[in-house]
Amino acid sequence: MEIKKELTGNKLKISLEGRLDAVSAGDLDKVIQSDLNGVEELIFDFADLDFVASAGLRVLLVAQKRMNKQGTMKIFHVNEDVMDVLEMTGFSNFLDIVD
Amino acid sequence: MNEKIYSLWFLKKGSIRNRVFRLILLGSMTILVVMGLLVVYGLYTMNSVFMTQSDQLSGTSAGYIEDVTSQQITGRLTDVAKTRALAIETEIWGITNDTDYLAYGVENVIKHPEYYARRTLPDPRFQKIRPGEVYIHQGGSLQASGVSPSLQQEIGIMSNVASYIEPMARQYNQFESSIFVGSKNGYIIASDNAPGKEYINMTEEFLNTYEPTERGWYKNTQARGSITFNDIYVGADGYPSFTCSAPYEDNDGFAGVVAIACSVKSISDIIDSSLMGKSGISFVLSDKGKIMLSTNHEGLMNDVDGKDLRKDSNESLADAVGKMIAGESGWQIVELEGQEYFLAYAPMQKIKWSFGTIIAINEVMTPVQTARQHIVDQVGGFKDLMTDQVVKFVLVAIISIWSALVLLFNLTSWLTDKFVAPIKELTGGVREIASGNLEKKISIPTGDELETLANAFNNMTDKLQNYMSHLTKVTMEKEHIATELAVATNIQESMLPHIFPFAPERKEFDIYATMQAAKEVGGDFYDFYLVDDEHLLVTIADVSGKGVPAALFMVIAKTMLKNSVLSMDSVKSLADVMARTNDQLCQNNDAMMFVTAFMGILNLTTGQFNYINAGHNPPALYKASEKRFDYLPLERNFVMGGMDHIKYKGQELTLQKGDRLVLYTDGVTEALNDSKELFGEERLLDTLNKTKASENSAQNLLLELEQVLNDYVGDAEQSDDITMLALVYNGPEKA
Repeated sequence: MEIKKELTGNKLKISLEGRLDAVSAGDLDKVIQSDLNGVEELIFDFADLDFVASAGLRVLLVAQKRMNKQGTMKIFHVNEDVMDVLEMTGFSNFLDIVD
Repeated sequence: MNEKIYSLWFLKKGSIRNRVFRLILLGSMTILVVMGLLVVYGLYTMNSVFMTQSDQLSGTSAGYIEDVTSQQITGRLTDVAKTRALAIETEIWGITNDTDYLAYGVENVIKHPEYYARRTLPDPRFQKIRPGEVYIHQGGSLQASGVSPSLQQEIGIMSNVASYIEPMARQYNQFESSIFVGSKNGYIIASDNAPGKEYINMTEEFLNTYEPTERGWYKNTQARGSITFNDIYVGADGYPSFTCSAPYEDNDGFAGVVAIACSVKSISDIIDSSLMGKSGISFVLSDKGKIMLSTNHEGLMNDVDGKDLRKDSNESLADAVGKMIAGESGWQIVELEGQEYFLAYAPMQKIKWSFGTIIAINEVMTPVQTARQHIVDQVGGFKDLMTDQVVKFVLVAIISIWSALVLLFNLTSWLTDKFVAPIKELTGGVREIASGNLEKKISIPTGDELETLANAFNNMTDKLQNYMSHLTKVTMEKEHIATELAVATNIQESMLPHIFPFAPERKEFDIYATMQAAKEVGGDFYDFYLVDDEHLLVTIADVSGKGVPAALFMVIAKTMLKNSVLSMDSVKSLADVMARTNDQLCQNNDAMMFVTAFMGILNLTTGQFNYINAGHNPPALYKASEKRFDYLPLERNFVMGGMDHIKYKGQELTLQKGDRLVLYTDGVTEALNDSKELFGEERLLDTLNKTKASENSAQNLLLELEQVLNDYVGDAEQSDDITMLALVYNGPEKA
């Protein structure tokens, strides 16, 4: 999976491309752990994200919890497959998913 | 390219030893051959130059000797001719002067009779005459006619001439000689010298018939009218006899001839002393081209023939004679009787004669020829010696080169072995290391690349050893962990209900479940148990992530759920169980792990099925009435452990006899084939619908599903835990 970061002031945009599975979730976890200092607006772009595994959901949960403390987190361009998973797991109720 | 190079003999593939050996041998042999060729070329050049030069040397030196010798010979011949001519001229000139003086004395007497008294001289007819004694002799005709008184008077006066003759005769007394005055009147006044004799021997014939006016000298001189040199002849004593005569006159004119005839040994000696070699001839040539005197009295240039050589048919001789008479001096080559001679000549100017001496060229040149031959022989000998030395040298060279080759071969072999020995040792050492002896240390103290290589090998062996011991350690650790994990797997498996058939005495249901962890331990779990006689509880859950952390979380989740379920008072409070468990899981969940779960409780009598879903995949429900599977409609409850204080909504349905529930985790729907394609919910539903659901037991249903899933995945690696649970409701037990 490819992770693209774009920091503008206190706004961080993370674009994910490919499969967010158990392996790539580790990479994303590192980004979340290290790059969120001072970020008040976190934006995920899921336009090219094909798949999210439970490990990936965990990272999203971590990110959401962190951002609950220091700002906002939004997810853009979620495709149908990923949306299914988010809905099934109830994540869609907690995440700010923008159409 | 390489093929080409290796096809050369000295680079042909083979052991390094052989290649090095061939290279060194080839190099050394090339140098040896080149040097040999140079030496042979040098020898050849030196030899041919020497041969040419020695031929030239013998030629030029012999020619030089010839030239020098010719010059010396001709120069000496010319010098000899000059000095001898002068000496002879001096001798002859003395006699000529004496003759002239005598004629003057006789004329003095005959023209002035008044100054002289009559004198009487002895007559050999009547007494013996001593040498040097002056006598008078009357010729034969005068004896016959008798002496008249006037003639008597004249003879008496003329006898005074004796006073001129006497001292002159003493001057010549060393030789046979005569000094005489011949009168036209037929008498002579004379004195003879005959060394060693007491008296002069006179024959009867001379005493009786001698007629002075008839003699050649008299006639020649009278005819000539001046001093005359008469032919030279060899006298009784063996020496050439020379007569010089001159006319004298009285008051009436010609009155007689005076003459000095002497055998001049000095001239002979002079001529003889000018001889050179065996073929040498010296001669005196008169102004008339006649040989007056010669060392040869017969044969070549003799003084007997009396020919006029100016008219000789031999042109070279006639030419030379011409030059001699012309008063020239010098030398030239004449050919006489088929042989070449040097002829040197010089004039006697006072008497118009010339002196010549000849010598055969080949005689003169014999020493030169000998010298030339000697040089040629010497050079030839030297050439032979040279050739001999060259042959010897070549022989020695061949032996030396052969020895050098043998030595070179052995030396090269030895050197190559020496050179290759470290490589062999290295090869042996490496082979030993390769065969497993890592303790082996290669020691090649050559100080070159081989030592570096050996050190590198030793280094590598050390590292290999370290690595292997490290590997052994790691492997042991891994094995240790693996052993522990195997134990953990056992523990996890034993935590899940795994004895089938479960509760076989209960005919209301048939249940079967499998869990296939992607790693040794998994995060999935299922659970089922009879809460009481009427109620069967089923659970399937999936912890986020895999491996040991997931397994630990799973254990916690499973234990908490079961504890909560067992303490609930009504099936309606299933949602409370969920909420309570969620809250418990959220406590101290720093790792943010969560679990999706589906839990249901079945009333075995009524078929009522109360269930609650916490973010888990929707189970498939087979309705016997519809004979097909469909996904169970679900509330979207959040996962457990993610956030606390969440309300969960429970759901409810009633199962009919023959209905079936299939629970699964996302390991099924998200299984990937080789093309990374998801198995998917649709395919799952299709697969389930293709099974003979109504006939299959719970176990067979899962086995069939598992078979299809395995076929789909093929050789692709299992990426997630795969957990399935099937429940068949057979309706209430007929009591």
